[in-house]
Amino acid sequence: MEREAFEKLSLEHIDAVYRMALQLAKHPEEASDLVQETYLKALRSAERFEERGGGIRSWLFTILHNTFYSRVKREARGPTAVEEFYEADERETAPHEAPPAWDLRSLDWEHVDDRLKKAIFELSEEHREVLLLWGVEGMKYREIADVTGVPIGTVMSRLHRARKTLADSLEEMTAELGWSDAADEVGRNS
Amino acid sequence: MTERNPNSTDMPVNPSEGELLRMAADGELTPELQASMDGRDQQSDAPRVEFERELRRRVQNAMQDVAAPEGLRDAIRRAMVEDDAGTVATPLGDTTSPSFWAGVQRFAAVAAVLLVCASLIVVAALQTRPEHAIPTEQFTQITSFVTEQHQRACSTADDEDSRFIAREDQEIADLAEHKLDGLPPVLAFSISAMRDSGYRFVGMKGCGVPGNGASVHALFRPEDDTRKPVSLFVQQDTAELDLSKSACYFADCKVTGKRSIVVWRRDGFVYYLFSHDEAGLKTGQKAFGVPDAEKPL
Repeated sequence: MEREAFEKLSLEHIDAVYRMALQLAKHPEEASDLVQETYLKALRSAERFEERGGGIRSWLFTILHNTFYSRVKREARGPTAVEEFYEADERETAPHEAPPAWDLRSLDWEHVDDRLKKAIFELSEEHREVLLLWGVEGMKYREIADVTGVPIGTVMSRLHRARKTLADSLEEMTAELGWSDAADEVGRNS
Repeated sequence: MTERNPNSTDMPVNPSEGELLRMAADGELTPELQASMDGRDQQSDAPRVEFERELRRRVQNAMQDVAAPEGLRDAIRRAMVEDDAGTVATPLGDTTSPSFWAGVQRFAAVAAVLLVCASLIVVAALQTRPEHAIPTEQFTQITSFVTEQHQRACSTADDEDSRFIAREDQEIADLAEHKLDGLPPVLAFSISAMRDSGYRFVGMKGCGVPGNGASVHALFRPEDDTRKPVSLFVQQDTAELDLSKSACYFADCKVTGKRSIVVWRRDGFVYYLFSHDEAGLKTGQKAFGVPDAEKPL
């Protein structure tokens, strides 16, 4: 790909790449560093992108993912933390329970958005990354598997676990705010 | 029960109820699973599927309002240009041109020349083998990195307070403890020495100097406009670079090609001092106690 075309095309996705970097790094300055490194790496291997085909956005996310976890491995005090997580995740099974039946649209969204943000922020990096690729970037399971380099089964496990965590958090919120009756009512009627 | 190996690259054949409903909400059902979904109680499933779809919309609403900071796009453009100038000697498009390799005779000629050059290099290397061997590729990555980081840090002072987060003594000690497992002795005394020489300490932040050791970046700005900023990168010494402990090494800026980087090793850390200003380098060498002896890379 020509240098100028690459720059134009790749920079169209800078908000999405930065958004994901921020969610991974949890710090604006680290996120900017990550994004810059991601773009430079992408530039240096722009030819490989052509050979591989596919969307440039997924490719940027893949480079971002690899760059972030390389840094984690390099900088972590416990260098085996990432491997330990993957081992744990291999054993992890997706939640089998059916989703709740209550209607999210009946809730006060000012509270819900804040609660969701907090719950997402508290997810592990791996769960948060998969959740955001699915929820914000609208990716399919297979696309997420390509970006994160894990099998589809692991993507589904992480995604289902993350959604279950968010649903539990919202359920707690409805109980705290006294909305549980309404939620129960929707559930009973369904 | 779910019949699925988490390492499988395929969709589950017989998912649990929870997985089936979430896959339905996500539009990920295979034709077989769609048939099984169609045979279920629609009245009971519909609100659960809708819950998952609404949750996805809400995740999007809650998280999509983040945009890249002002200036990041320009910073990346600049970094790309610098990268072109520093490490990409020919346009990327040129390297993919098939015509260069099309002529067999030309290929043979080039191969012969390369063979002769390689032989000469091997002979020369054996005759003049340095006392300390430094991996060239890694060192190139490091010098590129410190150049980029210094350039970026110097390009704007607008948000440096939010980037160089450690400014007070305790913050510096905490960041050094967190990143480097301890405060490098050089940092303990050099900040006041730099201040005495007319350089304001902007702050320190974590960074990712290539290699296995964690690293930090400290930035100093001159009090007057006649000099240029000075950066000090400190990395845990994991003995990847076989540097002498009694000497320093000089390297060139990847952008300007001028001698702008001083490297030395001490007390379990490798230090990289960077400035585009010769006076800045000399001030830093004095303040940071760089060994006087100089060795070639």
